[in-house]
Amino acid sequence: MAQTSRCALFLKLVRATLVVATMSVSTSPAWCGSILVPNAGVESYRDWAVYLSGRDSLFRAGTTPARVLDSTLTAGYGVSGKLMLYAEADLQSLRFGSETQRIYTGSGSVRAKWNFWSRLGPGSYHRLALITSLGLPIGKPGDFILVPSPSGQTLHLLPARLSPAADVLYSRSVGHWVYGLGGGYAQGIERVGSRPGYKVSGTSDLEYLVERWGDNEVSIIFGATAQRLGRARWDGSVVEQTGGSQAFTSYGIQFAARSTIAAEAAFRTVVWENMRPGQPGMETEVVFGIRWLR
Amino acid sequence: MKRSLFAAMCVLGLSAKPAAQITRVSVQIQGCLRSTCSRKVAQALHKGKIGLSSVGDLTVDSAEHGLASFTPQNGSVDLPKMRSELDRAGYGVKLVMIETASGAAIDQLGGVPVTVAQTCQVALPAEWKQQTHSEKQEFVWVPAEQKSAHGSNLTVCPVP
Repeated sequence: MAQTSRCALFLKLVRATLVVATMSVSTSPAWCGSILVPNAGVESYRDWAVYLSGRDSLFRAGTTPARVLDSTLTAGYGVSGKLMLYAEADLQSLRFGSETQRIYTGSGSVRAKWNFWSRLGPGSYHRLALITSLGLPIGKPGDFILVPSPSGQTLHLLPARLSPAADVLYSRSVGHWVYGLGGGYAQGIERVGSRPGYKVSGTSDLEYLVERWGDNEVSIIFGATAQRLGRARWDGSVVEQTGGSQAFTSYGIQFAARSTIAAEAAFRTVVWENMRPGQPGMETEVVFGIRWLR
Repeated sequence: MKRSLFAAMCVLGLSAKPAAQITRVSVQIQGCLRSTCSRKVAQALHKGKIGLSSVGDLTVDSAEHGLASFTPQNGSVDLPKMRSELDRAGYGVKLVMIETASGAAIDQLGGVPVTVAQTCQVALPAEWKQQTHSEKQEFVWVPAEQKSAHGSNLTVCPVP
């Protein structure tokens, strides 16, 4: 009896680990345009930038809720005014269901942002950027899926793997407004017959500069994201109960204390979802980020 | 012979106007709105050795209209180089206004020969019109009208 209980606890913890790792790769907040919102501009020129962000997320895996505390450290270098390279490390702590034990995981990725087209005017711009990223098979990254079994559903860990992704972003700025649209595609590379499903996402954001005095700026930000997840593969075959769709909205505020330091806080919530039972989905999230430009 | 040559040099030297020392450079930048891009512009000028001794020397005169200004540290500035540095930083230069002491000849800037046009058809931002001084002379350079970035004269026009 005690052994069964320990086994169940172990399975829950493993499942939660994978949920966190999945979320950390797919919703990494340090997009480096503003701090938490994608933007086609490049924010440093032949110099360094550092981003630190934290998230407190509530989500559901099957019928079990989980809470995740996550921190991401990103270092970026502006090779030119139109190309920036980033390296990112992610650490998570999570609590699954009613358990008090926490589990820690970590993962890494590299990313490049290329602002390949611009149309500029005084006090305005149109920009297009390509963002490519590569999740690295290090640490404890990966996704989990729930596979139907005679005893209900069995948790399966997907192995660490390379995870390439690409996004195209459009940003328009005029007066106090910055707004944008983006679309992206991500697909993990299959390893030992397993991988998560593809991810197709569309994002839009709207930022309004409320007040500026000296180098200080206060902006409010609204964003919306829709994503579609494909079915995962496990042990060489497609798992039918995985995949699904979700839509989020986010509401944030950014404060630039000077041109080198800015902080941003945001709240995200799911407004619609249609996820299959074997696929985890986020419900709400509070995010905080700090950006430092050298 | 030597005496007449010396006399001729003295006459030429006395009649020539002193070289223009630029006391202020004002730039209208395209695509720059927030404090992040103001910093990038300052980084581009500083790292490109375009007259800024430090990043903090750039003054943002109007973020809404992309207006910034600085005092070049050695009294001169290479305008085509400044334009290409800002282009590499991801921004455009619409207008440049340089300010010199009244009466100084402006025949070259940063080693590039300068031609001064007689008339100026450029619409200046309102902020620049307010800051013109009678004891100074101002010239405007429109990069879009410059056919080539290197190897040709810069054409500037006096601010009316």
